[in-house]
Amino acid sequence: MKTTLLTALFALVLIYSPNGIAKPVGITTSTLSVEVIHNGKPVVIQRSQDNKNTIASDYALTSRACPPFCIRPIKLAPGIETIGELEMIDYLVAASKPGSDILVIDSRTPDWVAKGTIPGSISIPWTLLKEDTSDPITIAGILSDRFGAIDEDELWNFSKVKTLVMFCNGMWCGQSPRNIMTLLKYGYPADKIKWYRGGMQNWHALGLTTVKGQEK
Amino acid sequence: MHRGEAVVIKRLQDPTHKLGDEYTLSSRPCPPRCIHPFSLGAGVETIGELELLDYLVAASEPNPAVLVIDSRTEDWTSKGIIPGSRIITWQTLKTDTSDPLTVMSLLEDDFNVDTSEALWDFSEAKTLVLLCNGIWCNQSPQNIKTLLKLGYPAGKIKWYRGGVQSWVQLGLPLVQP
Repeated sequence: MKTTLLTALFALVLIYSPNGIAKPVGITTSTLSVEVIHNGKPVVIQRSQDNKNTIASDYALTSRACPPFCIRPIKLAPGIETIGELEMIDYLVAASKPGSDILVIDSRTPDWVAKGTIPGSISIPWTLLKEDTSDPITIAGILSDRFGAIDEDELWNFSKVKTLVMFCNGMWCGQSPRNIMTLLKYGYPADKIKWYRGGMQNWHALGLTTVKGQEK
Repeated sequence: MHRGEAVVIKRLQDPTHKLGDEYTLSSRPCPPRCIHPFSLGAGVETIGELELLDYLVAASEPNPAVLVIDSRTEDWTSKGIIPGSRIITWQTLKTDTSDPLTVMSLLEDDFNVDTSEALWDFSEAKTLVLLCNGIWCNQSPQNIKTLLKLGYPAGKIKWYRGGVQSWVQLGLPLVQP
C-alpha cells in the first residue's frame, strides 16, 4: 500500500515537475526530431527538452589558448560553403540513406570523438589526412576507398567523389580547416566540401543529441 | 570606439574561465527560439567574429560608412553590449510595432538613406551589421527582412549569426550600454 501511494505520488510529481510541463524545444518550428543512421543503427537527433539544461561543461570554456585555438573566419576558401545546424541535419539525414554520396566527417582526434560526436558522422582523425603526420599510402587509401576518387596513374580523378561535410570542435578548431586546405591542394572540388564551422561547440550550445563515438 | 571612448576588445585571458549567466542555456523553447539557417538568403552575407571585429573598427572611424546594430530589447542590452555597437531595438524597426515616422527618421538620420524623393536613394546608405542573441534569436533576422522589404540593398546588410551567444562563448568582452 505504502509503495503504491509512493508510486502514485511519484507519478504526480513527474506530471507536474518542470520537465513535465516544459515548453517544447524544436529544431525548427515544424521539426522536433530527425532520425539518422549512426554505425548502422538508427539514432534520433533532437534538442534536450529540459528548458533548464546547460551546455556540457567541456564546451563552457571561453578562453582556450590561441594559438593554436584561434577564431576562424566565416569562410575558409573560395567555393567552400560554410553551413549551420539546419544544413548539417539535412546532410546527416541524406548521409544515412543507402548508397549516399554524402559523408559527414568528424575530424577530431579519437579522444574527443570517444566523448561524443554528431550522430550520422564518421570519424576520420585529421592527422590521417595531414601530410606531415600521415603517409602517402594512408592518404591515397582514404581518397580512393572512402571518398571515391579514382587513381589514374599519378593523377586523381575527382569526378565521382562524395560530398564531404567536415567539422571539428567549432569556431576555435583548426582540424577540419587544415584537412579542407589539404584536400583543395590535391584538387578535390571545392563545391564538394562543406564546412560546419560551429562544430561540436555550437551543437552542444543548442542541446543537440550526441552519441559516444568509437575509438579507431 | 564606444560612446566616444576607446575600448580595447580582447579575449578573456584566463584559460579556465567558463561561460556564465544565461548563455549556458541550451534548450530555450522553440518556437519561438528556433535554430536559424546559416544564411538568411536574398544576398545578405552571414559573418563571424573576425569579420565583425573589422566592422566594429570601421564603425569607430569618423564619419563611418558602417553601423553595427544590436537589435535586442532593453532587458538584454542592459546586461551588456558588444563595444562599438549601437542599440536599435528590433521593435523600433518592425513596421507593425513601430510607426512610419520613426522608421523613416532611422533610415534618414542614422542609416544615411536619402528619402527626399518618392523613390528612396540608398546609394550613400550605410552598411548595416545586425546582431542579436545568436543562432536561436529572431530579432535581427526579422529586422533584416523588413529592411529588404523597404528596399535596403542586400549587399549593404550583414548578419552576425553567432550573436552575443558566440561572442561571450569566445570570451570576448561586453560593455555597459
